[in-house]
Amino acid sequence: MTPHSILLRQVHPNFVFNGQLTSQAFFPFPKDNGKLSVYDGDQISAKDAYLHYVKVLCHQSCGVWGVEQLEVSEVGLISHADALIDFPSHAVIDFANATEKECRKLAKKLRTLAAARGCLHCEP
Amino acid sequence: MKTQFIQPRFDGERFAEHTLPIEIARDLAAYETLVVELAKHLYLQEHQDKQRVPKGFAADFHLHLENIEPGSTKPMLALVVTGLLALVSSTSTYFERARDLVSECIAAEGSSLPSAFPKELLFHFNQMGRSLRFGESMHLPRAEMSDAVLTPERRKKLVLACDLVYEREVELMGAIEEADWGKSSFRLRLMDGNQTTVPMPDSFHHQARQYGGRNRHLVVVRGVATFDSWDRLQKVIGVESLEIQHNAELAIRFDKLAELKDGWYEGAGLAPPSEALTIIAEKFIAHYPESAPLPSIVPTQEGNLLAEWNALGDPSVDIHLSDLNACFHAFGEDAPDVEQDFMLSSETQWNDFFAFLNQNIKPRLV
Repeated sequence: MTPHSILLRQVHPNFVFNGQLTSQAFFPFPKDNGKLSVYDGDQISAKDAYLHYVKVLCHQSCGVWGVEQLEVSEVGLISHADALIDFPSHAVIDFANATEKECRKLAKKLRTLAAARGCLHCEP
Repeated sequence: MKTQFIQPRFDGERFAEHTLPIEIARDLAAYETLVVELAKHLYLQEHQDKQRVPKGFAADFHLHLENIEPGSTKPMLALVVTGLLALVSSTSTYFERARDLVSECIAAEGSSLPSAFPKELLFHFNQMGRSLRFGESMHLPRAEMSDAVLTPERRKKLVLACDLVYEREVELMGAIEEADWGKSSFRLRLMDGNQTTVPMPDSFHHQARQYGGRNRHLVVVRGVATFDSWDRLQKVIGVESLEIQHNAELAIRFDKLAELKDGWYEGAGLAPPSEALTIIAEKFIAHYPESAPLPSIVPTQEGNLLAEWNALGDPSVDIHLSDLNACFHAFGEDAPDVEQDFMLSSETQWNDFFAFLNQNIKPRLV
């Protein structure tokens, strides 16, 4: 991964309202210990990441949005590759020990960056 | 004098319990009217020297709902004749012939209607069968033949065989844009952008004045409208009820949130607890400040809510449903962030919360 690698985030349909991407799409699920799962855009395209998430992992996504690794570090977060055996392009944005309120502010910053870039692959 | 006349059978989800929804009575009443009108027509066809049917011909003919048989929703309609009609047995055969002709008309293939059925009576199918919903049907038994089956689609075809539009029941939602007090009607802007004129009773004038032009509050119109063969709305011709839906967009959103089930997010997201969600929904729908922009409201994976605005400072509120605690945050513009927590347990606390939102949710600077 390089500073300009795009980290691809799958967005659940419930996190987009009237076409507006909400920060909940970039808010870490507590069970994941502050780690937000993303795809490494250097290893997989937005379309293939979408297909993997929907067809292989059988989860719901209305589209793929992305942030650059450099942008992630500029908002004060760390991201790194986290390859899994059957999921080599897996990476994470680590919210570490941020409190819920801190997570919300960080998620809003990531949302703004991702929304500016636009949906990289939308649900057909 | 009472004899069994016909035993229609109703099929569809609503009839699975072998009960007959009250509104179906209107279809049966419309069926009775059609049989009477058709019987009159048959009589006059055979008595061309007469201008009118005999006295009491129609007035003494009545269909009564005798019982609903178990095993299906099959109301037995009994023919009850009184007065002179009871004394002239030959007359009642016109009603039986009319019954058979109505069934033949419904069962006719394509547009080849029976020649004995006058086209000008087809408009009665605007009423008969109007209560049937998609997937429902009314079966009229025929001697030694398969049932005549009236479905919403068949009803539409029968009416359109004699007219350019047909009637069906509608529920429309939209904003009141303009009222015409003289004609006692208002222009309804529908959710899809189309518009139509809706007649209103005088009792609705006050609400039309109050909510006209306020596009956040929509009116739900239940009634009857005409549609063309492409099912495009032509005109609202009758209104059964008019109901204001405050903050309709929020109401629709909260309805969607209430449908969530545990596991909605990657098999693990929690659904918002319904009791707390109802409290939040009622407050937002009834009291959300008119001048503040509406938020996007989304669920969180832990079963809470996030309200977020596309406004100055990217304001958001995390609402924890377990303790009705709300955490507001907005980025400051060359100033510290705005952060405030609220408890939402009392009227006063809700009033303070909405007053705060009204003051702090500001449109983006252009």
